[in-house]
Amino acid sequence: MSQSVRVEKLSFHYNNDTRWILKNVSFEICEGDVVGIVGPSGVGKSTLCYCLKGIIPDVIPGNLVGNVWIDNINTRQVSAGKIAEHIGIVFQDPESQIVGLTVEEELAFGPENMEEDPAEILSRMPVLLDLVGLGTFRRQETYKLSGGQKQRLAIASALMMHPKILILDEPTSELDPVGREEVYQAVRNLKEKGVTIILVDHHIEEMLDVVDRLLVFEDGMLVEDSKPRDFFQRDLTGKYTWLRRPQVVQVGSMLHSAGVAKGFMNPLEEEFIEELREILASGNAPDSVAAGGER
Amino acid sequence: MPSGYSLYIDRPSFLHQKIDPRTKTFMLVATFVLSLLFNGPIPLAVMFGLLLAASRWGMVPWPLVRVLLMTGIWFIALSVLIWPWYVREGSDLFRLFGVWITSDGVLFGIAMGLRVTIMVMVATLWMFTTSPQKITASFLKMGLPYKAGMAVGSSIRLVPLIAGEWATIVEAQRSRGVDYSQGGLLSRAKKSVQILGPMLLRSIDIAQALAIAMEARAFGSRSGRTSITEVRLVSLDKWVMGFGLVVIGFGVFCRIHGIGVLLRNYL
Amino acid sequence: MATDAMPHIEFDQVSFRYDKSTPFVIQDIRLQIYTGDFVALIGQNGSGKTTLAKHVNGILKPSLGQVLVNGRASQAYKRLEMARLIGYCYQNPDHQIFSQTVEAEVEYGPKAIGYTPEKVKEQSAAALELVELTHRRKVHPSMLGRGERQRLAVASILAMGVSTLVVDEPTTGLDFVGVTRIMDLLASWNSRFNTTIVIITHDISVVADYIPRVVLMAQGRVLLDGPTADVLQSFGELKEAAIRPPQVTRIAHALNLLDGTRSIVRVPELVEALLQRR
Ligand SMILES: Nc1ncnc2c1ncn2[C@@H]1O[C@H](COP(=O)(O)OP(=O)(O)OP(=O)(O)O)[C@@H](O)[C@H]1O
Ligand SMILES: Nc1ncnc2c1ncn2[C@@H]1O[C@H](COP(=O)(O)OP(=O)(O)OP(=O)(O)O)[C@@H](O)[C@H]1O
Ligand SMILES: [Mg+2]
Ligand SMILES: [Mg+2]
Repeated sequence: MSQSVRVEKLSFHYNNDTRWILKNVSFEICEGDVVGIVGPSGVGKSTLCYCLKGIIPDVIPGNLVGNVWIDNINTRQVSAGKIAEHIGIVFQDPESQIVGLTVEEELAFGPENMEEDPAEILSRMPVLLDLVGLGTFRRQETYKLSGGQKQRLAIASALMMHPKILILDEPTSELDPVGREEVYQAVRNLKEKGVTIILVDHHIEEMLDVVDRLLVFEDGMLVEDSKPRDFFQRDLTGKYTWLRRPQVVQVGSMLHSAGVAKGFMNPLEEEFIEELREILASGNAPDSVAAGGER
Repeated sequence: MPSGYSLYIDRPSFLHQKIDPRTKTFMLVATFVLSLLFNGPIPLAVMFGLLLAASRWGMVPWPLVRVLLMTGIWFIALSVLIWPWYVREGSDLFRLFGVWITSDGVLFGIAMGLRVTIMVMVATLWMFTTSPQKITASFLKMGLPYKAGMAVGSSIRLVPLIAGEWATIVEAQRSRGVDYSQGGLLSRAKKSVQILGPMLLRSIDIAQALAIAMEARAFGSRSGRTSITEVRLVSLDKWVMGFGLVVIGFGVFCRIHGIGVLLRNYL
Repeated sequence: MATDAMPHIEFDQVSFRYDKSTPFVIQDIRLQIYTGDFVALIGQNGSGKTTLAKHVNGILKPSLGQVLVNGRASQAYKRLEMARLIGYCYQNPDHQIFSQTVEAEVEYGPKAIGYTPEKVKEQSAAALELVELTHRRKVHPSMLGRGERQRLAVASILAMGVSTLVVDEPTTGLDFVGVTRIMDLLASWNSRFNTTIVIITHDISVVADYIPRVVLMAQGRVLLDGPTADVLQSFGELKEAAIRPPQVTRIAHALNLLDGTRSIVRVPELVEALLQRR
């Protein structure tokens, strides 16, 4: 399959600060893949997103070494506005990405720039508004939305452009749990349609059953590129301490150190429950063991 | 809390909904021209009165109208203080610091104050009733580059954006104990001045963020742009613009014949 | 929950709307918060959490009813008086950060409420240390990432050392270390200094692990108010409020472990129940 994204020996620092934020990062993403990105706060995840989106170096200046190709276009060679036709984004901060005065204007902004037919643009709105639970807010002024509602709007606005590649930089940080679930469901649907997705999130549990790959960043470097399934099926004691372990993983490792679970348990909720059922049914391990394990 | 990026508030008023932004822009210019053609207090006062009525008609909220009125009074007072020192025409009223203050001087001061007030008011009315989105759309319709339209639209947003920032910072400072309604005039002014620096710098940040957000959604990627906002010149617009032209013609006629003009050799 | 005679903060049938022409955003809120309470405010996006929280220190004034702080209407307080009593941390850090350097931002509050210069320095340095921003103290806040700005916002409220804190989604966008630090700190202040804390969050496992009392909101009303374990196991009400119970609670439910004799909202509780069941 062809490549959607290619990052080659990418290093970067901002103009006003000589610390290198990204250090010699290389990876490729195939068309239709969903890739999760995790790393401690301040490691440069958002900076990487800006690079993929061509905002660095076109709009935000800095020292960029190496190359980024999006749909085989080198981001250095075209404007960020042009690249935007190939790759969509939901930024981390819900507030500063809103340009429209009303929800409707906000949704239309992208497609209008791509010279789409107004009637077609309008017809797309109701579906997407329902998808993000803002069905009744179409005429609302954007500054009157709550934090989470703004984030929902940002997601809908990005989807209005039917991007082939989509970056989601912590898209659910201010959403309620059901909203988060809905967004991940939407991601699954997009995946089915073959959209390439790059997903940044501190909550890894929802990510696990959507992504095909997990990229782990530490100290500006890409330190691991693994299958999500394998990620927790090993001893992570003392490693990635910034990463929140999903509750199932915590339970699994406590059961493991209690001698109840033999190997590493499956981190996906449904399969985890199945494994627990088996353990409860077999029931032949020691009863009381100090439940330690890591958090 | 930020009060949005624009002064524009969608209202069901006639001015908001029924009149094309191009017509409104035309009338804005017409009012400017008209206020420059007359320099006597009476025609300007009449225009001022009509504008006040139009503000109510355009559902401009009362607090804003009040602010405009206060500014107007301030402008008039200021210009009554200034003009009489320069204007020698008319009958002498009294002597102040060795200069004779004349009746025309005072009247001309009032007229000039009114003129500035009218300009500020009509501009506000225009901003309040014309959505930036529609301005951009109408630029598109006229075949002008839409980026220019956006530039106009965005700069209109700048004023309220700064006002919104101001409100945000004031609220944040209040919740940490700064009280703007306490203290003397001087200390209040000081508190306000202290906000200016951070506010301007933050406005730059916001402008940068806005630019990023716009580029991120393909702004400027094509030479054209479509718009879901429909702008259409209907016959009503033609009548209004025609009326504007007639009034300007009338204004020019009056100017030539000195009607409503207090001092001929002043603008 | 401490039970003084008088609540520290009391909502007496409070309703609020942003505009006379729009519907009420919060309605008929009755709520009592006592000194030393540690309360989580949870609920759907747009359910009115932020709006309610802004009433606690009088940023917003009720349209109907009243908010009493130590028995006195919130409106009756002077700004300075209120700021010495209650610290408020905004949901969006950019709504509160306005200084030119990280350090100046943290020092702003303590200065404004009139601490001595030494105390200002001392408390600000300590707060910056807590959120791990000491090495960034000289930079302009716009040079920080979103997570760092979030931490800065929290630090500048912590530095004020007030006895009541209202924090709106303080752990948004933070990694595990950041979340743990802030929550450990709030919990320890609550237990050591009896600091009253109202926290808004969507992170249900944080609620389960740290916070003893939960107020559940839905559509501008308080749906449930009670001990965390009870609220987080009320599947019906949670569903109504678009909140999912913690993962361990869902698993316990699926395995029929919730027999009413114990509560399972945290990891060790599920592990214990599993070990016992075998
Ligand atoms: N405009 C800027 N100028 C200078 N430095 C910046 C700028 N934006 C971000 N940084 C710095 O770059 C580093 C990486 O920031 P970035 O926002 O990419 O991190 P992140 O991994 O996305 O973190 P988070 O999890 O908090 O979102 C941070 O240390 C930040 O302070
Ligand atoms: N300034 C405002 N003017 C008018 N309506 C507003 C304003 N701010 C918020 N609202 C509306 O009031 C309702 C409650 O908003 P609030 O911010 O209190 O929600 P919230 O529970 O904090 O949500 P979130 O979890 O998304 O932060 C929402 O429907 C929102 O659209
Ligand atoms: Mg980030
Ligand atoms: Mg909120």
